[in-house]
Amino acid sequence: MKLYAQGPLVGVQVLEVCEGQAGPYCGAILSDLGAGVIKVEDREGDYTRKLGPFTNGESAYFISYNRGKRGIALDLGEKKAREIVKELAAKCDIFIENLEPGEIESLGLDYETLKAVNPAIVYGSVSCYGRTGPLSKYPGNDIVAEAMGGHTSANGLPDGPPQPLGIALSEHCSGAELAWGLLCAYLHRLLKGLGQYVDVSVSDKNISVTENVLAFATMANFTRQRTGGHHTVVGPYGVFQAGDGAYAMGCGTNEMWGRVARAIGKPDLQEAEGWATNLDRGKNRLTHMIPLLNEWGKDKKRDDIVRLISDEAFVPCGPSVTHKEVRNNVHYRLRETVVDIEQPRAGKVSVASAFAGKMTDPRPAVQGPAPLLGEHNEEILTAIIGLTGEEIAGLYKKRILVQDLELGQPI
Amino acid sequence: MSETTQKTDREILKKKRIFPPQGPLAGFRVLDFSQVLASPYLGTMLSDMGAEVIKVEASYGDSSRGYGPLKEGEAGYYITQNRGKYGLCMDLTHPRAIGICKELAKISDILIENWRPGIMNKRGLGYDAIREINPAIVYASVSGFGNFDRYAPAPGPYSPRLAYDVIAQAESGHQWMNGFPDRAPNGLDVSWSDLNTGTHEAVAIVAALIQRVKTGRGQWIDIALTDTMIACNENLICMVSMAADDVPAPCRNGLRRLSLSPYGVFKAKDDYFVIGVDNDKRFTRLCEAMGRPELARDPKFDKNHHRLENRSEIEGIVEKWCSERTVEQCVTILRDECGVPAGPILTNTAYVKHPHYHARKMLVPIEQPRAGTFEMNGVVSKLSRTPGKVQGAAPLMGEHNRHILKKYLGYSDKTIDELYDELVIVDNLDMEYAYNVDVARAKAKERSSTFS
Repeated sequence: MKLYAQGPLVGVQVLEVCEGQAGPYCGAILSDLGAGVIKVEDREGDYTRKLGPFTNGESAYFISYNRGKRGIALDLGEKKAREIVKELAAKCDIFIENLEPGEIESLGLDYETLKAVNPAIVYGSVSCYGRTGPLSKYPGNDIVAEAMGGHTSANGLPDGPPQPLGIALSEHCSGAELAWGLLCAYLHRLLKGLGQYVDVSVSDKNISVTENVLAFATMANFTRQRTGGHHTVVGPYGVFQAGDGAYAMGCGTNEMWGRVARAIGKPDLQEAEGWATNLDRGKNRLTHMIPLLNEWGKDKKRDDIVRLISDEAFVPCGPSVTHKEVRNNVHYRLRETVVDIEQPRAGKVSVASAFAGKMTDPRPAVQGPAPLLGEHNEEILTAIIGLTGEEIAGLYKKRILVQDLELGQPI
Repeated sequence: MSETTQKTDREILKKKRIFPPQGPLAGFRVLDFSQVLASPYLGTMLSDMGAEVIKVEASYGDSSRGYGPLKEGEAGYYITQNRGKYGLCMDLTHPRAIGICKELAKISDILIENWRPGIMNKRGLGYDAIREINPAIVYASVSGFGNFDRYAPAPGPYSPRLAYDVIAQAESGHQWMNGFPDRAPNGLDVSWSDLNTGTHEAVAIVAALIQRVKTGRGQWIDIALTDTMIACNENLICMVSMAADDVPAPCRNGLRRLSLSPYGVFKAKDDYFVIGVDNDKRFTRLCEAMGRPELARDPKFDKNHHRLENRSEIEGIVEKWCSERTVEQCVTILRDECGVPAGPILTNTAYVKHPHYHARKMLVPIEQPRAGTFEMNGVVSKLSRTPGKVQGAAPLMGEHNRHILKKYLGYSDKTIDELYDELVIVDNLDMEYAYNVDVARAKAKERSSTFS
C-alpha cells in the first residue's frame, strides 16, 4: 500500500480493466486526483508494456499512462481469476474498462453483472464508437475516431493529403471526458446513493470538440478545408518558419498587426492594400503573409524572433518546442506539470501530470511509479478482499496469479 | 427594424425560454464569465449535465458572436459553445454591475472565467474578493500559462504571458509532432488546447465539488492551456527522459504515427483512409485480412518495435494491398470482416449525416430564436440513470437579464428599468441583429410589460 495519497478523491477506490490509452489515461487522472487506482492485467500484461522504447524492460508508454497505480495480474482465462476481479469490483466505487467490443461481457465483468454484486458502483466504458449504435461492434482507436470525427480531413496543408494528428490527442481528451462523466455520476451517488453506467465514445468526443466546424456543416452546408492550422479570417495566426525551427504567432487585431509590421521592418504594410484588415490577411495568407514571414525568418533564430514579437511588439508568440525542451522547462517544473518519478527498473524518468489542473485544497499530484506486472498482487488481495498468505500462495501455484518482477528486455 | 422581426422577438420573449434542468448536476448554479472557446465549452459541459449556467457577458458581447457561420445575425460559433445557458449582459466597468455579479456569486456554486490573468481582480471579481462573500464557491480560471495572483496555486515565470490556442499548441510540443519531417510543423486542425482544457477543467470542478461535500470549503482551480496539452503527450515526455544520446529525438512523421506501425493514413485506389494497428494481436488480424498470415510470424514484423525497424518494408506491403482496392473494399475487409481498426476519413459535411452519430444522439436539433432549427453536437458522456441533455438554445445578448435579476435577486421591474436606463444592463432583443445600446435603452422600458 502507498504511504500516502493526496488530492480531492482520497478514499475513492477505482478498479481499471483497461489497456492502451484512453482508459488508462482516465485512470491516471483519477490517480492524480488522489483516488486509489488498481490496474488489473491479464497474464501477458497491458500491450503498451511491449511498445518501445524500453529501459531495462520498462516501456515509456506503459509508465506514462499507468504511474501512480497499483497493479494486479491474473490469468483472466481462469474462472477463479475472473471471480477474484468481481470480488474486487464489489469493494470498489468506480470501475473502468476499454476492451474490444464484447470482451468485458465474455469476462463476466459487464455492468449488469457487477451491479448485481455492487449496486452503487459507478461503471465507465470508453471505446472508439461507444457501446451502442451500428458501429459499436467494431474495434477502433484514436486514428480511426479522428478520421470519423472530421479531424484528419481538416488536418494538413491545403495542397497536401489529409494528415493524422501527430499525437493521439482524442484518446486523451476522451479519457478526460470519461473522468468527467464518472465523477458527475459519483457526485450524484454521494448525494443520492445510486450508481450508474457511463458510456463515452472517442468518435462522439471528436465531433464535440470541433469549435464551429460542425455548425458550418449543419447551418451552412460548408465543407471544412485544410489550412495547415492557419486562421482564415484573422492573421497572421499560425505557425511560421525560422532558420532553426518554427514558431507560432497569434495576431488577433489590426493594431497588433501594425506592431508586427514595424517589428519586421515593413511598417508600410500596416495600411497597405491586401494587408490592412484581418479579413485581407486571412484571405491572402497563402500569397502574402506566409511567404513574407517565412522569407523574413529564414536567416533568424527562432528564439530571437519570439523575443522580438512577444517582448517588443507585445503580440502573442511562442516557439514550436520539442519534447526535450518541454521536459527541461522550469515553468512546467514549478507548476508540477512535468515531474520525475523513480521506476523500479528504469530508474529516474520524467512524466507529465495526467490531470493538468492546479488545485489548492488539497493539491493533486503524480502519486508514484507505474507498477511492474503483478507488483501489488499480495497487498491488494490482502487489503481489499482479505485473502490469507496461504490462499495467495495457492493462487500462484495454480498460475491464477501472475507476477513478473524480473522483466527482461521483451525482445 | 422590420415588423416581423419585432413580432418574432416578442413571441420569443413570451415563451421565456427557461429550461427545466436534467442531469446529475441539476441544482448546481454556475456563474459563467467566459469568452470565445475554452471556458464557454466548459460551461456547455456543465449545462449538459444539468447545472444552471448563467453566462455573464460584457456589454459589447462575447466576441464569438461575430464568428461564422452567421445566420440571421446569430453565430454558429457562439451557439455551439453557449447553448443551454441563460444570458445576462452588463457593463462590467460599472460598479452596480459588479455589485450584481457579487450578489449572484454569493448564491452560486461555481464560477468560471477565462479572462487574461489579473482582469477579474481589476474588476473586483477575483478569487480574493469572491471567497470573502462565498467561501464555498468553486472558482475556476483558464489561462495560457497559469495565474499568478495572491492565492494562485502554482505561479510560474510564464504566468503573465498572454497566449492563444496556437501558442499552447506550439509550446507543448503538439505542433512539433504534426506535419511532415521535411517541412515546418502544422498547426492542428482546430483549437484543441482550448477544447481539451475545457474538458480537463470540467473534471477539476466536479472533483472540487466532491471535496466540498466532505469539507464544505470551496477553492480556486487554476488551469493552463499549456499544462493540459503537455499532459496529453502520449509517451513522449517519458521517452525523451529515457532516450540515450544516440537515439533521435521524436519528430513529426507525416502520414504515419511515429511510434506505431502500420498506423496512419493510407491511400486506397480512390481516396485516403486510415488503418490503426496498435498491438501485435491486431497486426496478426491485418496479415490474415491481406491473405498474408505468415507475415505475423516473420521476426522482422512480429512485434511493434520490429515493425518500426522495418517500417518501410511492412508499410510498403500494406500500401500495395490498399492501392488495389477502394476505400469501401478496404474498410469492409479490414474493419467489418477481420476486426482491424480502420475507417474512412470523413469531412464535417459527411459525418453530420452518418447514421452512427444519429443513433448515438450526437446530433441534436436546437431551435434558435433567429437562426432557426439546426443540429448541434450532443452530450458526450452517456449516463444511464441521470442522463444529461442539451438543455436548450443559446441566449441572445442579455436575453435573461430580467428573469435572472427578478428570480434570484428579487429586483422589481422599476429597478430593472432603471438599470437599463443607466446602461448597467443591456440587451439586443429588439434590434435587427446588431448591438445598439441606444435602441436597447429605448426599448427596454417598453418591454417590461411583455417579459415579466
